Amino acid sequence: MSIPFVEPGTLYGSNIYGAGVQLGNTALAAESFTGQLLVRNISAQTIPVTTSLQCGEARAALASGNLAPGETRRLAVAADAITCESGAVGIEVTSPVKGSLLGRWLSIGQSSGLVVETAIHSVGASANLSGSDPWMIDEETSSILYVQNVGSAEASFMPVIHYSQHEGHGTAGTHSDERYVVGLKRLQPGETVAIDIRALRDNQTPDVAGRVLPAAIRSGQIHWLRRHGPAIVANVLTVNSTKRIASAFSFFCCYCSPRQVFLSLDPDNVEAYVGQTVVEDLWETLVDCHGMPTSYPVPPQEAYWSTSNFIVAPVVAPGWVWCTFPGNATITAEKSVVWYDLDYTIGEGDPCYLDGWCYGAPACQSFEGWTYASANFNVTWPPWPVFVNVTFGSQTVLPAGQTTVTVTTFPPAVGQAITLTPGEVPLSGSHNHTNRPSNTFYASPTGVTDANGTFQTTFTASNFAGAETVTATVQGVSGTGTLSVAVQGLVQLSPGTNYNLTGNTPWHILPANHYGTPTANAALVSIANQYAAFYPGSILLYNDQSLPLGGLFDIGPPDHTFWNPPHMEHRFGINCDVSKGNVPQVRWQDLRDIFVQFGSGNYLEHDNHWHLRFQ
Amino acid sequence: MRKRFAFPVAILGLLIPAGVMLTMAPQPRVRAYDPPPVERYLYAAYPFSDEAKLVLANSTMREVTIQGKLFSPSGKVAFLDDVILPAHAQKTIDLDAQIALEVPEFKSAGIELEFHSADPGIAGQLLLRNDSRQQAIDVPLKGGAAYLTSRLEGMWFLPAQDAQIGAILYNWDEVETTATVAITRQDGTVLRSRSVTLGPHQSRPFEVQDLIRNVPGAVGGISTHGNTRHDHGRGIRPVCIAPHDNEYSLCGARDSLWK
Repeated sequence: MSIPFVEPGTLYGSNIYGAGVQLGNTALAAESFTGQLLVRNISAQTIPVTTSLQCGEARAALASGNLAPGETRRLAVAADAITCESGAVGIEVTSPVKGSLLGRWLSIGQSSGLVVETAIHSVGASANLSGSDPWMIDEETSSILYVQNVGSAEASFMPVIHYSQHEGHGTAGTHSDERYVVGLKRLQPGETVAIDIRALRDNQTPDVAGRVLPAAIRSGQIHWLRRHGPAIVANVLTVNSTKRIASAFSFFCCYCSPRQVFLSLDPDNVEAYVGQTVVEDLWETLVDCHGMPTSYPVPPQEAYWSTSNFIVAPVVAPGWVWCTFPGNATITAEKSVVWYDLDYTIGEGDPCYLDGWCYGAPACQSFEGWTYASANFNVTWPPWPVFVNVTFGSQTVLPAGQTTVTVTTFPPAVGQAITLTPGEVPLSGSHNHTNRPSNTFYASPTGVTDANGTFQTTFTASNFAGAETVTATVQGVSGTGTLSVAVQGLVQLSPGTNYNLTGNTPWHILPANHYGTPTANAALVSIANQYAAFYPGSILLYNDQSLPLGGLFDIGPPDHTFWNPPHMEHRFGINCDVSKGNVPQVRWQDLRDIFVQFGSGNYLEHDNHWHLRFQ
Repeated sequence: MRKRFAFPVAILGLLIPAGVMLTMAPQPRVRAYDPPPVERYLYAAYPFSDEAKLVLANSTMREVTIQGKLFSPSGKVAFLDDVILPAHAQKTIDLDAQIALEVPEFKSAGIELEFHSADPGIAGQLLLRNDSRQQAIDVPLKGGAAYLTSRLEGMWFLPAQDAQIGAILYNWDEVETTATVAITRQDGTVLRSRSVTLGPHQSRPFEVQDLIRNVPGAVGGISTHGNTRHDHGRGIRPVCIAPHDNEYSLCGARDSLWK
């Protein structure tokens, strides 16, 4: 544990910050911590000081007051001073005077006396700092990186865990430099986040490239690379819970990052087929002050997307490219970025500058511009059809009628297996009930496409009128054709003076059951008129004729079942049932003669009605 | 290369306008920071401890060889084994093992690390342990040129009445250096001020225990100030310790930050 000795000239902020103070129960050790905050005013004037803790968006104010010149103050902080489920707590001590404060935080384990120190940093709100710190984990030891945003806007950074893998045997082997890129972390103003290296290893959490930390690794470095926003500060706390000792690392080794920012697309060379949609992943690469590139995915919405050829490969959404026609296209993602470099004009001749960034206060100059990445698309026709089209020899067939079904594929899929599946459009044909029988195929519903990529068979419609479908599937691509099964030309019998229309049921979409050919309808009107002429004031009762599109006229429950007779005829608009119930028997023969007179000479005589038949 | 596909039916609902193509403004090439390799140094001093380890971290892109020396309070020099640090690697060096034959002489010493690199991204920290007393003291190493002013400011903290606080003053420079060390009370008034002169790489304990043995929990300040403009006070490196049982321990000197 240490209390820092600092040059006042290197205290660049008026406030001081500490990332990862331990309070209450934390992930670092299995005990509860209290805190001791030490603050000293090294300026020559009395300064007002405020102190606060922050976890996420929660903030807890601690003591505040004036510090006389040279005065040192100790503040004991209770374990429950702030409630923090994430365990990532930061502390802020404010002062109006730049460079006036020294600070140190000590976390005290309440049961073991373990002391965990947290470095308190004095940085300008816009300081551009990144760093790299050692980490160690074994059965007894854990390391956690804490990073705090000390500015008033959102900041982001990229944690990268480095470790070595030994390859070969003994001393002759080599150590490889392996990397685990945790992924972009965003920090709200004042927020602290924790990167628990042991948890990442033990949980085998994949990184941005799907890599996991090997279970055997024990040590390495963790880089925290600033990406954008105000200053961030960091501490790596390492605790040996058995020996009850802790170490704190806080190496600010990288000033002024990122030095460069690149974009890339994955995939960057695409061979795709017409009809496919390719999802492009947008990756950003930051280059730190050492020249180390680190890549990670960013949301595609952060870039502007464009295509060189809207016909071949239009961008339909950020990162989504739809391949619509054979040809070549270049997809471009473009993004505004900020990068930095040391200001070579300041500190010219300064030995600190000449010796490197560590030894002075070189200015960090920012640059803004656009960076972009491209992906080349070569789009070709696929070996499978893009479109499957189903057509019929006749778009309308009679119930139980036949027509040819022709399936064409585009581009032609030659010699490919094809499957036809019959179907129907529910509630069509005025049938207000489901599970209607399907059509059938005269030949097999399966086959192979010919040299033109086509296939043909014969379709047999069901006995019921309505809309029926045929779906053809080739290489997983389907197309559906719809045709009408109907008796064309049927019209509804209008209400008449000398007859009533009867027989509607809820199983048909009304009005549904008095459709006939024009000839039959005219004959029915004449029959009723003639009967009324013989017997003034009498009317006839006309029950079911045909449904609007004809076809088998089923009568559902309670007396009968769906999709079955008893109406054996009534399919083509030339039949009608005339009730005997309101016709005195003495008139029956006169009425029979009228039936014959108006075209229904072969009517059927039933117990309660006459079944008329017209031509 | 990975390629993910979705079929048209999935994308039909996503037919929203593509991003607007803006005027290309390619990122200008950043001037490479490529200074020539130079000799670089890191320094620290450490007080007596049962166990002294040195953690070295290389954040550069290249392998770096680090040479180390220890300077005893009497001026004796011990050379550490060279440490080859691959890119992005870290190593922990057991200093006790390296100076096993001369432990008494170097239980308290100054340490100097030298490496040849264009990139200064080498960091080091001494981990001083006293397991029996459950003490852990971390002393980061620092580049000598980091000291630009003549002042160093710190704090002391007496967590318990029987705690001890001491300081090691170390002159990392090759020339004799004089500085004034002042211990202040909590209210900032000076408790004791003393001028200290150290030869090249000389280290010396600076006892403050008698001055601040009073109230547990007391705090105060400690400062060093170079006596001449040339010195800039940068050779003096104070380290505070409190090696008593079951109590807090304090020491240290921290890296400077950048504005």
